[in-house]
Amino acid sequence: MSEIDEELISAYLDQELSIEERRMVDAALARDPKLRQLKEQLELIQDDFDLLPFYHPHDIQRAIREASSQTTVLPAGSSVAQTKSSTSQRRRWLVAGISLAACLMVTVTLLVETGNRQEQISMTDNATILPDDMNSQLDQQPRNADELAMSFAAEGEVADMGGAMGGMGGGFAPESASEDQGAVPRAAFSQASDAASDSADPQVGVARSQNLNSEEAPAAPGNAAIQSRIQADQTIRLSVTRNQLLRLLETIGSPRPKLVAETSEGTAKIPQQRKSLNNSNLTEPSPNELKETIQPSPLKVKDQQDKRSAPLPYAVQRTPAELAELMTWLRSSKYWPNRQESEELDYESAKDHYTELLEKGSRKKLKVLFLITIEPDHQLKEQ
Amino acid sequence: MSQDEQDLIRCILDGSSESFEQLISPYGDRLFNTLVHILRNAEAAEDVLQDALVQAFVKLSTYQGKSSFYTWLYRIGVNLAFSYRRRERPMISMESQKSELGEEPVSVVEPVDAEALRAERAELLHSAIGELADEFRAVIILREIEGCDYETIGNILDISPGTVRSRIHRGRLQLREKLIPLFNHNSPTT
Repeated sequence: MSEIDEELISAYLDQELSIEERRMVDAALARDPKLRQLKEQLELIQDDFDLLPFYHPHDIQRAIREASSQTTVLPAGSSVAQTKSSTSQRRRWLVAGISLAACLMVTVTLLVETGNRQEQISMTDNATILPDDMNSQLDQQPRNADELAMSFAAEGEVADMGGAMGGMGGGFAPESASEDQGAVPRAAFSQASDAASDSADPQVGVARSQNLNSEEAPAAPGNAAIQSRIQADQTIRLSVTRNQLLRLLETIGSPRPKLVAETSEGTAKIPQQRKSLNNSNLTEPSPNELKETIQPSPLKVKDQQDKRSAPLPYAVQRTPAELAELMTWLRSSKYWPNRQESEELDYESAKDHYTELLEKGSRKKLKVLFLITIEPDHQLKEQ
Repeated sequence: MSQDEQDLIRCILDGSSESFEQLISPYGDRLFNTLVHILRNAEAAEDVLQDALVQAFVKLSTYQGKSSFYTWLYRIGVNLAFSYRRRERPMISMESQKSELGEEPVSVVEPVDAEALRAERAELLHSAIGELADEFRAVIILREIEGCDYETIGNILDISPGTVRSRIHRGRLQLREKLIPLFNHNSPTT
């Protein structure tokens, strides 16, 4: 074994040692023939790099001109590149398209109903939006568990889901988003799991949601099919305006959301009750940031608002603690119907309730299905 | 970053795309050469270079001058090259690369057999580099071909100089393992 770290030999050859280290290596080389051999062999290889040819591009000037002529320098702080040729840029447009789809769906009031189904079906941790035409496909063509699970799986940040989202209100992605994809993407919001806090009385939530369901949520046969296939432990009905939807999805789609109390008086951070949440790096984009990067077509927005389509299914898996925290947040948020009349809910009680639901099966997470109804903006103002 | 580069970047951000050519020109050829060695394919290197230039232009406003522009540009290029490699595996064969890369420079001074041996060694080295894992290949190419010091390599790859030193040494040991036995059989210079 050498008396010095052999890495020093490479650093010695690269002139990356201090004077003192060089002296040490020189001394070691003088004493150790194996080190000398190593040094000579590495020098030999180094010398051979001079044999490698230097390659020139065909026309570097043209490449530079094309780069600067086909694109625009982004303003500082902007997050979406404005180029057609870069793969990474295309991916960003895809994300923007999904965000736009979320923006166009909009509006809240909601409700909770608990289910307790035992059918085995695998869901990922990813939250997923299923489009209307997917609902009809589910109705027409029963799927097995694997197929349905596949439809929920997301690859990385965005799953390539073809043109299905286009069926919801006529397509929600900006024109350029679909340009390279061949179709408007449908969305999947990928998240891992952790976190939760606060309070929620599931029973109260159930009662309210049932009322809301009968008054507000339109019947949607496709959703019934989805519910029966997903076998959600918890179904939560919401209705939001399009301006609220993205923020809501950011929250319910993340197991570790940055919870901000959204009241009609403004916003205020809810104290984090669990250490895991304090470590969360999640941040919500401000509405202004979203407006900078996503410009929905006014016609499509109007179309969507006028349609008041069937609820948008959005599926996630959450631990009892995560779901309890989410429900607590929803109860205290402006999204919750009759919030001012609702009672204070207890996080621990909610968590216990969801834990009980889980213990009936052998899973670690509850299957949660959000059914989000898009409401016109004026209805929100009336609320 | 030099004053000239600062001025050029300011001009580009003010809308002068012509200044981009001046900013990139000193580095474009070198970056391409590095990309060819990473990708082992000239056509792929052209594509990645184009993407790197586009990204550099589009994101120029995000460049804060904390590292040299050269380092920033190389970071974009090298990252794109390795992303490309991950997407495009398996890489093309050495034979097809030879046609892609074109003929290597030929010396008119040395005897043909010596030149042939040198070319063979170069090809062996080129092949051995291609067999290195990405993490070793990157540091070796940036050090031996691009001539970067450890700190610059670390900045480009976002790793510490200590990690650079370790990877360079391990990469060299792997090259030695592949090449020294071959060199001992037919070395024109040893």
